[in-house]
Amino acid sequence: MGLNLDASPEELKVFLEEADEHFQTLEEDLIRLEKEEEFNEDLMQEIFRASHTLKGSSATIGHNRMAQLTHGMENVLDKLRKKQLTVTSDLVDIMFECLDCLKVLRDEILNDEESDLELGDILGKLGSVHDAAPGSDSPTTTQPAPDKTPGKQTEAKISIDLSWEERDTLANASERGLKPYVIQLLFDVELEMLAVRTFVTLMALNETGEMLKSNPSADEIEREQVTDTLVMLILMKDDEAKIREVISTLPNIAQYEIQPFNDNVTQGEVPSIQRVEKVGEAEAECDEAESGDRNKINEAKNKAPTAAKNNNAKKANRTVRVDVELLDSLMNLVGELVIDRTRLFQILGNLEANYEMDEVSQDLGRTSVHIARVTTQLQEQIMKARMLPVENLFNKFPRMVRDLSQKAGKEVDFVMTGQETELDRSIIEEIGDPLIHLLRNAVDHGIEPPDQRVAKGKPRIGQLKLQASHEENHIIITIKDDGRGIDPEVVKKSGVKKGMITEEQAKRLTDKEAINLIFMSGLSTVAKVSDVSGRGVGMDVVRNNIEKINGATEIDSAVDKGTEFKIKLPLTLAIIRALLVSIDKSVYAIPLSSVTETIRMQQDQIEYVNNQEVIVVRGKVLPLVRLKKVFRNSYDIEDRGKLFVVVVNLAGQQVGLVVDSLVGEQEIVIKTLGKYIGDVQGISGATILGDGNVALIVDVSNLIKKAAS
Amino acid sequence: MPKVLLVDDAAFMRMRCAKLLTENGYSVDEAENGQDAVEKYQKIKPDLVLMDITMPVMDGLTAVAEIKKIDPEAKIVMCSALGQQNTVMSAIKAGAKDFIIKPYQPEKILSTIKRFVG
Repeated sequence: MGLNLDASPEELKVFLEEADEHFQTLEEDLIRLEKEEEFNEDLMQEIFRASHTLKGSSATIGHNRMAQLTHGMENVLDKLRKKQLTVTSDLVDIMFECLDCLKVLRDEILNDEESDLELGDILGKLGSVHDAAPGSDSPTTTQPAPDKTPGKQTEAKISIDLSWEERDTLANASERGLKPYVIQLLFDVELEMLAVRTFVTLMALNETGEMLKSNPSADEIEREQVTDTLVMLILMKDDEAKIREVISTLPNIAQYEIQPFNDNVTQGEVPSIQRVEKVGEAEAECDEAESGDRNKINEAKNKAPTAAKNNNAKKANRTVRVDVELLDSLMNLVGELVIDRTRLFQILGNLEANYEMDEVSQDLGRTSVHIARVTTQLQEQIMKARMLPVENLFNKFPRMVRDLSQKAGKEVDFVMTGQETELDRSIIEEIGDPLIHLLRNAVDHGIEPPDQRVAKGKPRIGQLKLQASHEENHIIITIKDDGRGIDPEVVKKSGVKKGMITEEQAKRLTDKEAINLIFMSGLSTVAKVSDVSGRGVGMDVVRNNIEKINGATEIDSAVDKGTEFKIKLPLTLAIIRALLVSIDKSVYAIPLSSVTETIRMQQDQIEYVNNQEVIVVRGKVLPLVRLKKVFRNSYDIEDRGKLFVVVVNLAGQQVGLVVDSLVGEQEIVIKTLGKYIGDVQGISGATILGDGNVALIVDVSNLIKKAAS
Repeated sequence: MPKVLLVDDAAFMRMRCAKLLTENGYSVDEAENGQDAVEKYQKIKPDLVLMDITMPVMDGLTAVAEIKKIDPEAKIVMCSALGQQNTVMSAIKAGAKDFIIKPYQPEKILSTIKRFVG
């Protein structure tokens, strides 16, 4: 069922953008409100404003359910604002539940379809919280209906009590050329904000002359002691036509009567005005006036389109929405250009080497250089277009951490920095789940319950930091907690118990290597599986997901000090810098992000540990993997005296890859191997080189795993 | 063309209201909070101000008082949600001429504005 909203698509776009902003404000501020010990009035106001504006806007577009919910929220928030309620986590929970509902209601607009969300439950919760607060004559509930006891109206006369001074003024009025009139007004039935309407009317009529007396008085009106009538005694120079003129411009007046006041009377009584239930005449008049207005509106509409158009043009946004697929295909095309750029240079090089350069080939050379430069810029710009601040992803975390820590009975101070750091949108999509997992672990296993922390002499409240930053050609995301840390001994024991490593191996593991075991599948050191985490699936998935996008994870942990995860991510998925190496005359590409160094060494420097070839680099033993053996299945190791070793590093594990020679460093465009070939061990994709040949991209993490096993 | 200064912190409300007013032959300027409104009032000298109440930086009630200080003749109409009766009352006492209740009905806005600026 469509929503039938009263708003144009552009208006809805603005509405939705603003709504999202307000959701964000609510989410952030509610968390802060709960955390801060002192009641923060400014923060409270901001929260109130967000829900108030949402209420107004949603009512305007006719999204009644959203208006209804925000209205309920506003009632409770108003109580909080006036300190008639205090901030409790239960209350914040309810507010968050509201926020979740609001998001569902927002999505209704996106889908133009009503969801099956039931508001009864949450509205009930809001209502009972609100009603429990003191002074619950809510400002937003409709005011008590005006006193409609017909007494006043059936009474034939109304009386006007005048004080002596007022009688004096009245008596002297004629000397000053003023005539007294009694004005009786009857307002429309069921008028909203009757008191204010009465007051405005009083003020407007006051300007026509000198008001002697009114019933209700200005004070009474202010105290909202109003009925739907207003009686005034007014002294004026002009005659009653002037009053009629003024009254005719005032809204919401159903009927009125003006009578000259008998100036001999000191204690006056005038016939009271009666509400005529159906005033045919008046209604007809009203209709006429309204339709007249409408005609005018239509007229104006017909006249105005050019003006409106100009206005729109002026306000036209400087951004456009682009389908992600379009960005992907643009990136692909640029990838092709990048390949051609490399080819072009290679051809040019051949040309220069083999032929004498004449005018034409020099021209070709210059143009190639230019095309290369433009290609580079194009590549940078398109990459930029695909960038999003990680903020979009980070935004949902504070709420999540709050909910998790509450569930686990932990106290956590969650701090995020570097939200403005930008990443390729496809990478942002990929790292969401791993980050959630790591944050969950930190809250669930890392940070200790408050009492335990106090017993350990740590501050009661645990620290959890999420940080994004730019580092050369990478983005680094760190998640750091000051919790109990990972005990390498426990991990080793668990690994042995689950048969993942032998006891022999366990003994030889360094602490860092032991901690890294948590990334192996099936290992969980937690004795009890909790609601949140510890099912033994996860850390391996985290690592795999990150490695899939050419990222790397590092872990650093100390018992009782805390744990730090460091995730290193490439800026983009499609184009990477790679080290090209050759093996048996074919070229392979090794992602530069995992290369630590290259070493030239002599064959006789190779040593053996358990039949495994190793070399010692600066005192550290490095296992060797001969790529020729892996990819070519050739076992004959020629003794050429010297060999090249590319040292690769992933998650703290280092391996030396033995290659025939180093070709160079180059930007490569990653292509998948396609469905026909599928997954090949040790190969993560392919790329096209400058000379048109295909080079396979080495899957470093796979090779490291192999070397380790 | 009569000039109306539209004061609301919600861009959506401004957009909608501005559209209605421009289509009906008013020249519209926008301000996004009370302080902005006071500044723009001095610059633009609008014939009428439509003033929201709940806004950041400076709220509508304060803005009415500030504008009245600059121009005692200023015509200001408060835009209020139900439930802000007390605030609207204070605004009227501070010199606002009338009020409109949100959600706006186009005819109500137009007829109210018409009353003050024709």
